[in-house]
Amino acid sequence: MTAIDPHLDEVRDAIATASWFAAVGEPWTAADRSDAESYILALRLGALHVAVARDWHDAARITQDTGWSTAWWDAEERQRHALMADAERRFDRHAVMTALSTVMATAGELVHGRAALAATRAGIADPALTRVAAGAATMACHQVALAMIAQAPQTHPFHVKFRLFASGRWPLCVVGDSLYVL
Amino acid sequence: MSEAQPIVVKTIAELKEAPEEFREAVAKLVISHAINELYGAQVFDEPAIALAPTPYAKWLTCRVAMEEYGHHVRFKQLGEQIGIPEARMVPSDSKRPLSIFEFPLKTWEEFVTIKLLADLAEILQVEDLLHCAFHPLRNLARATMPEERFHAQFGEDFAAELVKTPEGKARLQDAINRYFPYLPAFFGGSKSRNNETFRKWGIKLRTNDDMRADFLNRAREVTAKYGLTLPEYQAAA
Repeated sequence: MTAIDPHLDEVRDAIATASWFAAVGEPWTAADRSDAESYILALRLGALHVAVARDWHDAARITQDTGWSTAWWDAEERQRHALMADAERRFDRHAVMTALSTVMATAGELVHGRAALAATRAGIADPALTRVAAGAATMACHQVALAMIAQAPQTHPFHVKFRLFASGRWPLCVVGDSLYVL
Repeated sequence: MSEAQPIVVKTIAELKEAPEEFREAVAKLVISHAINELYGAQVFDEPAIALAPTPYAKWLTCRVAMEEYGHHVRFKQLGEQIGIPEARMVPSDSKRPLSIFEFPLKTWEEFVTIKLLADLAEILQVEDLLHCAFHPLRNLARATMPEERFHAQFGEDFAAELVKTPEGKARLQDAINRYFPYLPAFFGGSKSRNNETFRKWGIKLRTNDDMRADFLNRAREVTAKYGLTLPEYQAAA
């Protein structure tokens, strides 16, 4: 077994330098679209469009849409379970769980602060919505940490999803035939 | 109860000079909070992410789980600073969590009930510490309180959603009927010696019975707001 620490350092750096929620409401770019399309492909979600949420209010509405795709959530969960099995083949389970807890504890406060700041700049004073954003970002940190520990390729959906967050976007969820991104 | 000279312990360094009974009482409280915050996050908040009905609710629950875990970390850090070994601040065979955590969580409505009522019970416990004679613990309670209030509000917000339909309201009422009986015991026995010691030293203010009575009133009030009721509770003789 090799040491888990270098992977953790890489995760911590990636989380610390990400532009959490900084591009929310900014014009959509070709690179953003490309990452969103890569995420759809990597998760094997079939033919989906990329749709852009207008603002924080729109994000709140979309993420509470009862027609959201559980298949998308389940696809991420399958990836997570597969990565966990890979990680446990490389490192002892306790080391993996400790590493993930450490990452989550650090990331949680950081992304909550960034979400609150970005929402405040947009004139949003909704403690629940900023926590929703922080929860989504924290989950992405957990997922990318797992991908790094399991040494998954950069094309893995969790790496691609993290790149969207790192570029200041918030990948929301799949509703109907669209992946929504803020 | 024997009279103790009221003391105020403003720093961790000062605690070393405090009477042994005071130090032990502080340690008991810190250990209890550290264990129960961790256990609550593990048995309720983390599993509830899978039960949540929308991505919004899932991510909000994820953040709440992180905050509950964060409370455990804060209490554990304080515990380490006052010399409590880490092993005493995590659940183990000898340090069982409270009975309210023995409820087997299976549905979203149960989780909403837990946030609505168990987090209200937690607020009462933290409220008592807001005046604690050991100031590092008082300060920790002050830092924790806004998040605890948000968690109870989470319970209210989702309760308000559920009662919009007769089916949702019935499921929530059923969850309350099954979970509520676990809660009164959360406040401890009427003749608790620990509580007597806590009050003697100004670490806590109220008796267990006073807190329980306050909780029952507030729980009735909050459930009534949503057209819900609490099952009958009979205090132990």
